Amino acid sequence: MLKPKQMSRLLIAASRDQMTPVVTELYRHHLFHIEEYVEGGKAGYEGFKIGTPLSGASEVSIDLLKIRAIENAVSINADDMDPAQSGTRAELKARIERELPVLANEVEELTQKRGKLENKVKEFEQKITEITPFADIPADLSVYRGYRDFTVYAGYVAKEVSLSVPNEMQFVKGKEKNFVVIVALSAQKGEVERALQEAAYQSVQIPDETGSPQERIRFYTEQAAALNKEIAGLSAKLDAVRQQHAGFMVACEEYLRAEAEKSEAPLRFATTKQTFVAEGWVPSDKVEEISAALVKATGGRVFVDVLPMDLEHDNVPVEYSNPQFAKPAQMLMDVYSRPKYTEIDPTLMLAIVFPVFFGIIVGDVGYGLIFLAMCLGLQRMMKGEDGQMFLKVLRNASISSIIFGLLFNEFLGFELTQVVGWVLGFGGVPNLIHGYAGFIMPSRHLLIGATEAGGHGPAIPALMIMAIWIGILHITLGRVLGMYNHAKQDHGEHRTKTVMANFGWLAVMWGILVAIWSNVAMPYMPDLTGLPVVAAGFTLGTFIGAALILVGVICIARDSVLEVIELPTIISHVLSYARLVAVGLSSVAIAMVVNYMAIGMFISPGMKELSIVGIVMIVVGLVIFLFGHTLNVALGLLGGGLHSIRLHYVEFFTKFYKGGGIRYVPFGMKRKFTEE
Amino acid sequence: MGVNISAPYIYVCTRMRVRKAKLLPREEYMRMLNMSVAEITRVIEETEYKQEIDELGTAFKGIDLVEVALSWNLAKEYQKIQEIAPGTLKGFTHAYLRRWDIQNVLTILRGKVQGEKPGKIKEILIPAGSLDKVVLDRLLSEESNDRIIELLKGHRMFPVLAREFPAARESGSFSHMENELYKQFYAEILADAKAGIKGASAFLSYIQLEIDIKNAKTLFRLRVDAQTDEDVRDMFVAGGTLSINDFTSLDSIRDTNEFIDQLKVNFRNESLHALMDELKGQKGSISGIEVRLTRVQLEQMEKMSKRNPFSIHPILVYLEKKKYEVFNLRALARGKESRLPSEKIAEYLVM
Amino acid sequence: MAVEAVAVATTDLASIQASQMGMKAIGAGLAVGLTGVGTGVAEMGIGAAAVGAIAENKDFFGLGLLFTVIPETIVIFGLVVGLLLLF
Repeated sequence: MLKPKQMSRLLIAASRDQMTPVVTELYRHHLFHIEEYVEGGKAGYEGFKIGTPLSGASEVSIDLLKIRAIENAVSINADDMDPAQSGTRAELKARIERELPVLANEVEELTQKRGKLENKVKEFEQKITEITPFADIPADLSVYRGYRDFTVYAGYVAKEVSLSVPNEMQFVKGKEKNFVVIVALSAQKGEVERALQEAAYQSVQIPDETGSPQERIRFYTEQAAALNKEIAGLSAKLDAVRQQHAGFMVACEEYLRAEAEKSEAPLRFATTKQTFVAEGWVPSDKVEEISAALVKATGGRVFVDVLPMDLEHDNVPVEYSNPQFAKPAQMLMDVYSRPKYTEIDPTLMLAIVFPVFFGIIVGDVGYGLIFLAMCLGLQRMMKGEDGQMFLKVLRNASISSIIFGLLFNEFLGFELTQVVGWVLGFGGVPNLIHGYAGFIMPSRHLLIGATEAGGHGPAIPALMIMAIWIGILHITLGRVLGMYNHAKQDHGEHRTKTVMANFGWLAVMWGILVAIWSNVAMPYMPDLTGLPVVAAGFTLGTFIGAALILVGVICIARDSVLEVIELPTIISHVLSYARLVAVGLSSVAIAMVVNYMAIGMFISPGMKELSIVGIVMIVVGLVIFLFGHTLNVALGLLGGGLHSIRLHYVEFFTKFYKGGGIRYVPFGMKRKFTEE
Repeated sequence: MGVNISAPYIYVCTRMRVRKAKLLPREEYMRMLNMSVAEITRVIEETEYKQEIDELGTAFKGIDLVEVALSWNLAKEYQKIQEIAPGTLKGFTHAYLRRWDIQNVLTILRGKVQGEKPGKIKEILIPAGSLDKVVLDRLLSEESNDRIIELLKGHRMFPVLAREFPAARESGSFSHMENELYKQFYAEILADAKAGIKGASAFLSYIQLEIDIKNAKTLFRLRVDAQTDEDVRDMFVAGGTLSINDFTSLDSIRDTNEFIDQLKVNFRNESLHALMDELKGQKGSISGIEVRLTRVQLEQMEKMSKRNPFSIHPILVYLEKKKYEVFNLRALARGKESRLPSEKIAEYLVM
Repeated sequence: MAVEAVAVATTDLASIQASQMGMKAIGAGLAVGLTGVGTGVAEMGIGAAAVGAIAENKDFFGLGLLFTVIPETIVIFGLVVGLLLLF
């Protein structure tokens, strides 16, 4: 919690003949994050080279390429398939040897046949397009070629061509361009070509055909149709192959991929003629397990040691360690950047605060329920792990929206209490009309379409102050975490300076607040105007505030003078939290406008007289209602999600969080279709 | 310089930078040097080449699979970039890619002379220039080279081809014709770049760099195969920052150290100076020097693209680097196939 | 006389109040509208670059989104000013 999983640096050295058992064992445990060896860098590794793949790597690769080509041909995607075991490893290996070549041949034959047919169809289509221009000229296609003294010109022209030399011409007027065929003496070539050029002539290939053009087109169309039928047959056969062998193929691919990864592991090790050395990372609580397993697998002919960690220079891979409910939020962390090993992992805070922000922005029971239903529906359909995580984040956010909807007393832009009253039978049709003070939280209802005088309207100042308070607290938390991170990561004088700089930012922010409070009385904020006046008409509070600001600026400047120009961001970042209210209000406004248009302008008048016009009006009203709220659901999702996460990324994380840690990718794989 | 900061420029240039970042790093090549052809194929199948290798995997295997997949991938990449390049950059990209017309036509002609099967020749064609797949297929289906040249009538290469081909057929060597084609190509794109279109100056500076490096490579090559019957002046391409006269006078210097000093005086290019200092006093193989000169060019282009982040430069850097990635992988695969030692292959890689 | 004067003063006062309300509404509109334009201009370049990066590598989604919405603060300030003016 708040910290990544603890890692240890492990060094494994053995003689080369132990390579296979060591690699197999490491792969099986799926815990060892290999630190790749790059030639010619590290001290202590003089004379070492990158290793060569284990034997059999080439054969495995060939099979793997084959299987992937087949999967591609019959369009199998392993991600879309449910995990299922298919036989033991030995069985699988035997089946690969026995069945893969047969299967490959079958698929190859089918795809090649299909490819040939498809090419044929294309050829026919090409021929059809070649003949089409000639279709309107009532002449056999054979008359266009085979002359000794004549030249045949065929092509498109922009305007009619007039020739001064003897010729035979066929002109077909078209919509965009005109088609022309001219037969003229070859001896007068120059003259003809000049005339054609004037008419912006584009030549067309003369088809190598005999017979009437119409007939030829019909003939080729029929041929292509017949081939297409054949292609469909072949595709059906390929489909049958997929149905029958999909399970085998994905299992096969997984097995081979594992084999390939294992046999190529030495490319990431440092080797000499006789020995090899692998360095990497394992979770500290697994060191014993791995070492024991390696010793056992090699019969004790291996050297395993935990190396000391150098937190400043080592790139320790990072694996999250969070309570179950916070795990989905890791996805949002990875979108930004994975934490460094040495810094605080803010996933837990994100997991709690993100849904709260989302709830404040959306704050509507109706929309919350719609989001929730969408999540639960999609959760069944989506298969990928990332998608599931995302949906869980959204689920938490929608539950929070429902809670805040209750507090704000909102349901699709109506007042929840009124809707409940109407459903239960006391009270009339929900009256969207008058503004209404909120239930527990300040009201967000606007005066859209108000018919009664004296509505409250939204409690904007109260809402704003609430958002500002959230901002102040969130940023303060961020700065405190920043102090902690710097205290932990930095050293010596630099450390004091950076910690003090973070304190400085805090001091400036609170100094400004105290100074404001001392001069202006604001609702829901401490009122310090009553403090005794000290000098020049300013109260004690003003001086305290000014002192805090001064101390803060000095602290910041001591770390970096340039940072001082960033001071205005203190105000802009705090005010930025106003979006929690502003975006929410705009969403309420849209909902209310939709309701007013749908009910106030169409449905209510329509209900008054149930003639055809009335019914049409009701239908139009319902369409507006559905369309408007669908739009608002989409906007709410985008606005609620984006703004909440942005407040974290920009306003919160920039105060303490660096990120840039590397992902912990242990050597091995999560098996879906094969056994260990 | 022709910097145009509008959204499409930013979009495309950023895409190019990200794509460039996804190219294979040096460590990956080092590891591949220890692998077999099949393993290399599999490793690149797990990167940007997945689609091509999967599609071709049922029909080809071994070295053919890599070769075809690399060609397809490069062609696809080039076409994709031509599609997305915005505004005037599209025209420059087209102009830059026209060099593949020369490459493709020469590959076909050479293949035909050597009696290669059309299928084999097709494997290494990159349909990225103005001659598309359909045209190249037609050219390939012709039996005689004369017919091929005739079919190209109307193409901008035709005059040079018609002029040079008879002599090339006589001598059996296409190198002079190749040189002439490239000279024409550079003359044409230089004209494009000087036409005063927005952003052209950035394109021009790149072409000049490329011509300079090309001429420098020729210089080093001339020092190795000392005797040629051809006029030396004919070998250099005009239009770089240095004139042809500069190059011929450089070529006439016999002493290696003096030659290198003079080169340094003539070029204002830090990475080239560094390379020259290294070359002083040691005798590298010509292919090694060429690879290093290519690296100098890429480094310089990288610098230029940092200076003009939203110009043609980021696109060109990516196009060039992608080309060399494909060349590298091809060299690796071919080297492994013919069982060359790793150190030998490494010499040919631009990393 | 005096009664008339008072009547005129009240109508004046009412019209002055009404025009003040109108001015406030215009002010609020300007605040939101102009800051919206500002945000849009600022986001244009960032958005183009972010979308470009995401098109090539989905991992940039988070950071791209983050950078794109940074200028959003401007329009939020506009909205806050607008709301405070109106209520």
